[in-house]
Amino acid sequence: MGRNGHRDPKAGHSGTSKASAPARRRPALPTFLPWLSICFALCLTPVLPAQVAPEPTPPWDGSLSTPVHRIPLFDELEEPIIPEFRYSLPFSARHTCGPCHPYETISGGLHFNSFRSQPLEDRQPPVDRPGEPWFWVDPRTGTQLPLSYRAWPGTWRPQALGLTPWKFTQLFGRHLPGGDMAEPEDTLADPDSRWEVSGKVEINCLGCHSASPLQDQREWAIQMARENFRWAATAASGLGEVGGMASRLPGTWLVYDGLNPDDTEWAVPPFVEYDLTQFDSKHQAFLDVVHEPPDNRCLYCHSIHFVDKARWARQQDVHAAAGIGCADCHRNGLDHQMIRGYESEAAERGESSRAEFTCQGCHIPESVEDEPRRGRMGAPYPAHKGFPPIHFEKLSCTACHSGPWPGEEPVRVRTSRANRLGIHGQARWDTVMPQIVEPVFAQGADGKIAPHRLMWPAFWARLEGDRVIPLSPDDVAEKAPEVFEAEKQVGSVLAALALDPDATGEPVLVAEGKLFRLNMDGEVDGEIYDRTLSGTVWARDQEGEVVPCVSPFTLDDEGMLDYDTEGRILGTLRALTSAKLCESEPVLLHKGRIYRRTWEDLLEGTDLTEGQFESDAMADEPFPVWAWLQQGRLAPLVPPLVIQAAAETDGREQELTESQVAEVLQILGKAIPEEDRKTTSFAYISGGRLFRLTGEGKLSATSHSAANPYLWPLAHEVRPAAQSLGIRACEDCHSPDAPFLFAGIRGVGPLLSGDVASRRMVDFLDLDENYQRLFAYSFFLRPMFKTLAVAVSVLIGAVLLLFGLLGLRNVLAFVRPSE
Amino acid sequence: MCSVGHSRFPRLEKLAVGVFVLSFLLLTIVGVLTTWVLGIPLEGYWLLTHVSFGGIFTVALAALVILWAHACRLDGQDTGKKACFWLMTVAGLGLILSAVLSMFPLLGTEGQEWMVSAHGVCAYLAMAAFLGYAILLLYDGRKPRAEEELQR
Repeated sequence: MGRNGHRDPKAGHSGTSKASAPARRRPALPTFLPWLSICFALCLTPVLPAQVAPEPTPPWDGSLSTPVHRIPLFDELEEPIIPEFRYSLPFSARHTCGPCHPYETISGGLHFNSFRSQPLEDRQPPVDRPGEPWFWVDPRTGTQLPLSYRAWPGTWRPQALGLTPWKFTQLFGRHLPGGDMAEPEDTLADPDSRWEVSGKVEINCLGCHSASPLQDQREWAIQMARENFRWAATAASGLGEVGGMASRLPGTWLVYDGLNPDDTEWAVPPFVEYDLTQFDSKHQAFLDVVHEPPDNRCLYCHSIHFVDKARWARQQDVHAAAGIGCADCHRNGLDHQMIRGYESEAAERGESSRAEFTCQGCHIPESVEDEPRRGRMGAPYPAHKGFPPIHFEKLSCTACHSGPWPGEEPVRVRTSRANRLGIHGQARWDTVMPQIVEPVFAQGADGKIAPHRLMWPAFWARLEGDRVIPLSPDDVAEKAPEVFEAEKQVGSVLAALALDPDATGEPVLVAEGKLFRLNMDGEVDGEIYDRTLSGTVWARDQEGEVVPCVSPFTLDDEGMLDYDTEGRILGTLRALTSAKLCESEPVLLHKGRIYRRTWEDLLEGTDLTEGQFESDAMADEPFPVWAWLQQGRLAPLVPPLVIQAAAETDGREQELTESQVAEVLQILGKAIPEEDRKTTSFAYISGGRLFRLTGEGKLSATSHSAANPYLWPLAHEVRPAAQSLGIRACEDCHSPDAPFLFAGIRGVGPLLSGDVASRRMVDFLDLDENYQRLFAYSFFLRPMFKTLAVAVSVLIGAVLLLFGLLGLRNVLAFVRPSE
Repeated sequence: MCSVGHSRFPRLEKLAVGVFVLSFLLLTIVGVLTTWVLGIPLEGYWLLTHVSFGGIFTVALAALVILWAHACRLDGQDTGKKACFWLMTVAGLGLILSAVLSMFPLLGTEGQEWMVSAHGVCAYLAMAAFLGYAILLLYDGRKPRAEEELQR
């Protein structure tokens, strides 16, 4: 028996106790072994943390409440941030959010994976359904080029244009969510990059998940423009103020260098001053984060603006009006593979659950094992009365329900990422280019007709045979700077003339029947001028009276100028010189003499020599002509081509004229070696046409696949059912003048030209236009047909009833009992 | 007798029969060709043709029913052809109704799909009635010769 009378468990079944048997002892360990283990552990301690796998993130415990994020912040060196510390670094999402939310898993999400998931070869199919690309917009050269790493047909790879991840981040950082190409693994691959100075752009978690009213994406855009990449998220979050500008720092600056005590005005390194009121005594900050991003966050990058519609007149998406947020449909798990919501997405990704968040998934769900599925999120079930089922095979839901009601022409829209919307403040960031229109009905990747947005690309290109190779707009501008930015060239001269302190009146330019004044953007605004001055005259507006800067003058008997005239000429020459518009010397031409400013600030006049001027017209001007003198040759202040372009494009959204394009193509063409000129040339694409120079040096336009527009599907704004296509009658789509099929789409672009592409909606639908018109005309007969069919049915039904009743009488007569 | 030549308006009767046969054959060919032979949906120019001749079929059927209903009442004689006539009448009515009701905003998607199915079923019934009548007509056509030969 064991202790306390209980059976000893070690006693065994025989009943005998084993206590009498000798006890089995554990073998003795060597006494030095524990000390050896301790030494071994101490030696491995510096190494172990790098080799031990991180603890897996604890799975969701099931609670629907959002944890309060009062957490310590960590910088990119994994050091805790002490907000009172003067030289604190900005917080790092990777090391602050990452310990609980695996950063690497999230970085593979839809918003962060374009660079990593791009097809390696050009011929590989695109990763997913086409969407809105990035647009490289350069108004100076008239460029609007769709770019994408996702190899969507019709877009160009950024690397094909020499855009490294650094340059891409510089161009588009304003609307980047962080990560992706802006957080490259190899920061040294591009020698022109400055990742070491600016830091990488980590995923901006708060950009989506912050519910704080202090979250300011405008601040993000400003910091990105200053190349304060590692500071942008901190500045946008409102946790601190960021000053300084990384773009002004030398390339050798590192974040460890800190502030420069010798320069506190210009090249100030970025710094952050944390708002101490948002930290507690343990240096923990309260981050107002939510699981589902508020709509406001999404709209920063995904807003659509109808150009001709005021904000108050805009019709809201029917889902948003019903209280459904963006994230209610566009959901994701920890992997951030957001649901885009198109019908074939579930099949493409092999995830059937995605189908539940399409239009059909909510509105016309399929029952599963007799389980009713209608009414998800209160979605009404559409009866589609009178709607032949063939339409569901041919059309997507969005064809009838999304976008603006189709009109005679698509309407102009602007988007956040393309037109730089959402960066509020005094300065205007938003742009007119690229010109985007919607809706354009086209066949989607799944073969169904869906509404799209459309943009006609515009860019300079090198032609090798029939192959089009786009050129970087920076390279083109560098080769022909004197041809571009017509309004700015004129404006720069007017700005220089305004520097003359002795002159009275506003400097203006009279040319091409217009009067140009300088505006606040450094460009010019034109107005009609039909008064006394003719030709090209730099003048001054003196209280409504426009007079030349220097009126026509004659020399006295001694060959001298009068004092006032000399003063005006000298003042103007002084102003043009001090503005440093170019390397050349400003001079004045009049009546065969050229007037220059000497180094003693005196006026010197000499006779013009033959062949000294580029244009005979300059010598024939009735008014004194201002010009540049370089290497003994004269050139106008602004080339006539440019002045003409400024006059033609004034008040229009186009930036270039055909003359400018021809001039640039000539300049570019001169760089081609003689032996290559038969196979290589340059071209400009705009408005759906490809412009190139003929052998005679004239501009000609042709069609080319590279000039085709780029389309991407749209899904919002969804109209109410009462505004869907077909709600009134079949003729909404099936009529000879229905915009759905026959609306016209004209090419638009930065080039002012009447030669643009002209298409109809049927061209994008891949439908037979003749058949569609014939079918549409058949609807005129439809009411008649229906009336006839109903009448015939009634007639036949009556005959059947009559003879049926007669037959019934015979049957009854047959079965009646015999008399 | 439930056949041509027994109505008060023989010319109209012949015209109605001719138009009916022609339109029905064309409708059948278009329907069968696209659905069974080519395996394509009835759309495009095929659909236009089918719908156009459907209107003609409608009028022709109505005329035929009016002209032949009395002659084709079931009275124990020529039962086969009369049965085919009434089957064609019922099927034809089904074809017309299943097509025209789809054009009104009455039926939702499920109803529309049911109408398409009903149109197909009625088409099969109509084809059966047409074939049956044609076979019986041919049989009747051969019968007097056989009797004549027996009498010789």
